[in-house]
Amino acid sequence: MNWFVFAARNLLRNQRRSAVTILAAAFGFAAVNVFGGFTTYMFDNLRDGFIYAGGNGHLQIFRTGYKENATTDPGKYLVPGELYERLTHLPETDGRIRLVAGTMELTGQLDAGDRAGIFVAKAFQPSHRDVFFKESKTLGRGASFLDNGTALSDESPNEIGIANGVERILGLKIGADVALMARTVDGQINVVDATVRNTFASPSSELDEKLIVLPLRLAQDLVQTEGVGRIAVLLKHRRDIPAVEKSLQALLEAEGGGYEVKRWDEESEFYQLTKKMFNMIFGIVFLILIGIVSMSVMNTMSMAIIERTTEIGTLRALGLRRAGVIRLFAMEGMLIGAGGALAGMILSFIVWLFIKIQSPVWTPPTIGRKVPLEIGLVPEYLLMTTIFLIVLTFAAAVIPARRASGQGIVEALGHV
Amino acid sequence: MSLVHVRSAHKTYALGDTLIEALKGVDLTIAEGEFVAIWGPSGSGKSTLCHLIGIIDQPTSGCVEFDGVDVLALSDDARSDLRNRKIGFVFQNFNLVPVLSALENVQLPLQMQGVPDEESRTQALEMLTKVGLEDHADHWPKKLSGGQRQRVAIARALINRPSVIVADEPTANLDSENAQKIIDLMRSLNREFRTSFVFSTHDERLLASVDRKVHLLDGLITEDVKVPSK
Ligand SMILES: Nc1ncnc2c1ncn2[C@@H]1O[C@H](COP(=O)(O)OP(=O)(O)OP(=O)(O)O)[C@@H](O)[C@H]1O
Ligand SMILES: [Mg+2]
Repeated sequence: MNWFVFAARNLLRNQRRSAVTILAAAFGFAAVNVFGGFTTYMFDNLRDGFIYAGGNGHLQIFRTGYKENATTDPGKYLVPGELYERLTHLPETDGRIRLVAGTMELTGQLDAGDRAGIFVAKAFQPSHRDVFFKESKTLGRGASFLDNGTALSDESPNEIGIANGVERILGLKIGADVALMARTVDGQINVVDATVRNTFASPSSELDEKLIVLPLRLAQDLVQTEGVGRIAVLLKHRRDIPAVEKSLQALLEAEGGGYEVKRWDEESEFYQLTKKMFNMIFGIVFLILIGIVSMSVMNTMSMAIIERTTEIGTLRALGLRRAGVIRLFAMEGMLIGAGGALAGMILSFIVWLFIKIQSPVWTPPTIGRKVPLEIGLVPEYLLMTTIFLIVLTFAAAVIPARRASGQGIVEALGHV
Repeated sequence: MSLVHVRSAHKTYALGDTLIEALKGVDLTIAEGEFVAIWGPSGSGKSTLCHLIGIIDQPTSGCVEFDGVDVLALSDDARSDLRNRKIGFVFQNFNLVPVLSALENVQLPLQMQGVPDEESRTQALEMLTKVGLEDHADHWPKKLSGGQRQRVAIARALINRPSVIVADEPTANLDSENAQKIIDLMRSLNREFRTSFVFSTHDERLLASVDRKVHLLDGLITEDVKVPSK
């Protein structure tokens, strides 16, 4: 027999009370991990949604001032075609880079014969877009967001995609011919003809009635340039981001400067804000759970201590030091913590399994369509919560135990 | 040689506004191997004196020396260790730990010292044999009779071979036949191990086999008689 067995048997004295306390700890454990698993899943998807589905890549290159002036005077802040052309060959020499994809953002007027409207266009090379979708590891893997029609292709440079809202308000059908009108880099008005090839769900409702996607070539023809607005750099591994960022900065410095290289997380304001918000919610939930768990453990231990006052007096009379009394109750607390972690793990797994089987769907922001809800149980989190829970229950037991160990032996012995 | 030395000990309890003087200046020396009974009516201060001798309480004034050391000067840990190694306790209500078997209860004082389980089991079993309970080693306290429980408690008190065992009314919860058996057992262990025993009682019938009778009345020793050993 050792102290550990002694502590375990003490917990079995009041089985119902111990079970309730362990269950409270288990619920706290499971809540933290399920919620943590959900936020992890969500952040992973927001991240990959931005990098892959959004076509933004891990790093972005643009001229200093482009972001501020892209809509009013885009021509002045484009990356020259000649430089872009050289950058597209980077994957051949730098194994970390998967793809360098030029993009353009522009606004103009879309003329559908009897009706017309403002458009906001994103332009990219269709084959590049396919690479982004193919590389995506989470949401949107392998898929595009097309509702009707087929994906744009390099072979048909005059075919465009339109958001559902544009389709609706302009009454456009697949195959309809339209004219796109915009200012060239020199300030002239230019018009190109295009055919609607597909319709898609817009990632944000504000843009739904304006957004269209163009092949990069068509956009360049429209504004009469060989240059591009932003360059999205897609990497093979996220871990290479800082290193590639540095080498791109050095490379562009050598080109005479005036360029900016931004990481995806600097550019995705939405991700940052969401993450901040969820971290805060998580923090609050975590604090509440800490409070509930530690209070319930403290309550259980206090009750056990009161019930066992005479026994504490006896142990002290037999020569157990104060620290020995504290250690005994701390062990009992830790056992509650360990039991709670174990039960909590089982509970988390059950929730995980339930969600796996039920596969509920939800519509995450920036994706614009229903996706299956998942929670990713993170082993590191499970381990960390286990350690944390044991430390917490240990501390929650020590507080009343300290008081118990300090009381007079004679008073404790006389306690009935 | 004197083992425990209580010197002009006073003990005052505050009960609301009134002060109760449980001990009013007690001098007592316990020698090695003595078998001492402290007897007196209820409220005379027997328990209070036992607590002082067992170093689980401190006098309001006066001092208690153990092996020549003033125990008031010791830290709480040092007093705990002293109790663990040199003092055994037997309680009126037996005070066995209910979740521990008879054997495990006897092991407790050794376990507090960190003696390996294997070793303490052997010793505890030996001690249970001494009190005639080797067959009950695995029994839970609640399955034992009062007399058996008190014998387990005696084995537990003796396991560390202490210098003195303090027993405050060890027989108060036993019938007279069992009470006498417990006193006889303590007496034979006292002879075998040369361990001093100090027990309190208000039952004069139990004083037949003692070396020394200390009579306590109203917090004072009124009589301290050494009985020539038979
Ligand atoms: N904690 C306490 N608070 C107040 N008074 C106390 C306390 N403990 C003991 N007393 C008082 O001190 C006196 C001596 O008590 P003590 O318990 O030592 O006597 P006792 O001889 O052991 O009596 P009993 O035979 O009833 O056990 C009694 O008057 C008792 O009421
Ligand atoms: Mg008493």
